[in-house]
Amino acid sequence: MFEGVLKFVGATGEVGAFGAKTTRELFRRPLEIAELTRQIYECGAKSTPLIVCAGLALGAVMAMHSQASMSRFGAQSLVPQAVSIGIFRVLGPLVTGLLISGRVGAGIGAQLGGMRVTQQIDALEALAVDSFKYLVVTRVLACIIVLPVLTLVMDFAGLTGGMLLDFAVGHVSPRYFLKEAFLALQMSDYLPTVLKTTVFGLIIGTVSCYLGYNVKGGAAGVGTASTRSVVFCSIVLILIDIILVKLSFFWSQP
Amino acid sequence: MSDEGKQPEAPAIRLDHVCKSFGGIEVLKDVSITVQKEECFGLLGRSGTGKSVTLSLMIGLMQADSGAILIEGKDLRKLKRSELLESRKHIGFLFQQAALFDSLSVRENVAFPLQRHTNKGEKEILDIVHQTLESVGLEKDEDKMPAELSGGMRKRVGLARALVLDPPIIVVDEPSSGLDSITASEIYDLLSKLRERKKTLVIVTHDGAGLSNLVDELAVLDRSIIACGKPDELAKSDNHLVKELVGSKER
Repeated sequence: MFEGVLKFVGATGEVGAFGAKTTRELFRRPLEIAELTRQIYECGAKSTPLIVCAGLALGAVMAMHSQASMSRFGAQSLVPQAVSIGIFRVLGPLVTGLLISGRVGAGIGAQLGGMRVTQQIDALEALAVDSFKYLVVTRVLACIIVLPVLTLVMDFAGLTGGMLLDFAVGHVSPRYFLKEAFLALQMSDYLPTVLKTTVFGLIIGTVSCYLGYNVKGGAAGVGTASTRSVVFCSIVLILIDIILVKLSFFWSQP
Repeated sequence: MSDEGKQPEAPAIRLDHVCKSFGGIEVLKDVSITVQKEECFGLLGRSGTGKSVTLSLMIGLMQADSGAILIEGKDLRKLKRSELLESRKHIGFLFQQAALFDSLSVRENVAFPLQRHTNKGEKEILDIVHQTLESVGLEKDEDKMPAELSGGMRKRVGLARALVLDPPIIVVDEPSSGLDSITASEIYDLLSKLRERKKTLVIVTHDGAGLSNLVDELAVLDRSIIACGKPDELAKSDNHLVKELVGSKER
């Protein structure tokens, strides 16, 4: 038990040191622009269909539940507000973070792990390329950049899903739905949550890169790195979300 | 002009009393090697005797626990990270499994060092890549992905990638491992052509047969250097392991 705690503390320290090194390298020239662009495309553009589908479903489900609950009190007119506040403040950022940790985090863990065990990372170093800067910094930065954008996509997809459901089931006009949805929102509902997702991006990038870059044990190790990336990223994301939501209350009381 | 008073040229590679351990297990013990410029040096040893670790130390992928490693007279321990990366541009490294980037095609793999380290235009890079691949007999496979290549082809692409920046030193890890004898001899033929181009060659292998006609000097590694000399001299050694490894051609 004691040994397990020590191991956990040690691993946390190593991830922290890895994150600190990544942050330091972020500001050191030259930046690998070509690789960063490729990673933004891989992590961001290729994740968009997943985020849109998930957002539409999330919004529709939220609208359905809100309708069912609010009709008891005759407050169906509040459904657009419930959907928009729920998605923009809480579900959009967290669900985007969790989905990206599944799709991108696992991918980074497996890709870097595969490169490590097949000596491709050593080959980069042998070709006089700083592998940390080329592989890790670009991926972490790409995650930091794409998470807020994907969260925005998720938010609007969710709103669209809720609007379509409300129109199909409750016969609420889309125009009324959107007007009510945006009336309920303020900048303080949007900005802190977007800033929060950059932290999510940093966590997903750092944890998955750490696990992939330092993989040991051949193909089995690659599988473990990929699985651990998803598990650790998800747990840390949820914990950090609680802390950041609490902190954001100091900025804007809900 | 007289050569008197001139500083003697630094050897291409020098390992000086190098030791390396992993988790308390000593892998290399007091290893000293000197490879002169334009020399072809062979390092022989059984599996697990520290050959690949020695190569990794030579290009600074690992740090020695003690001892000095000098590349063209520069002590790797004293180099900054940027200087270490710069010094690696002078060494072409062929990995045991070639270590090709599996997301890049053969052409992109070979072009990668040129794109990174030169200011050449796209057309010029493609020409150089084509010529380099032609020199290893793979000019028709430029568009293939590494997964579509055989072991021998992968080695040849790896060799092309190691050569494309025209480095003065080439380091080769197990050129014949996992290959049939014909493909292995093709790889050795390519390496012997490098000798004609006045490259410094370091070849690490467990297969003495392919090396004896190629190298100027051989060393036998068994955690430490147990024999060093001309291939003919080592073939007559009284040491059973040295005789077995160097004389494996006769067997």
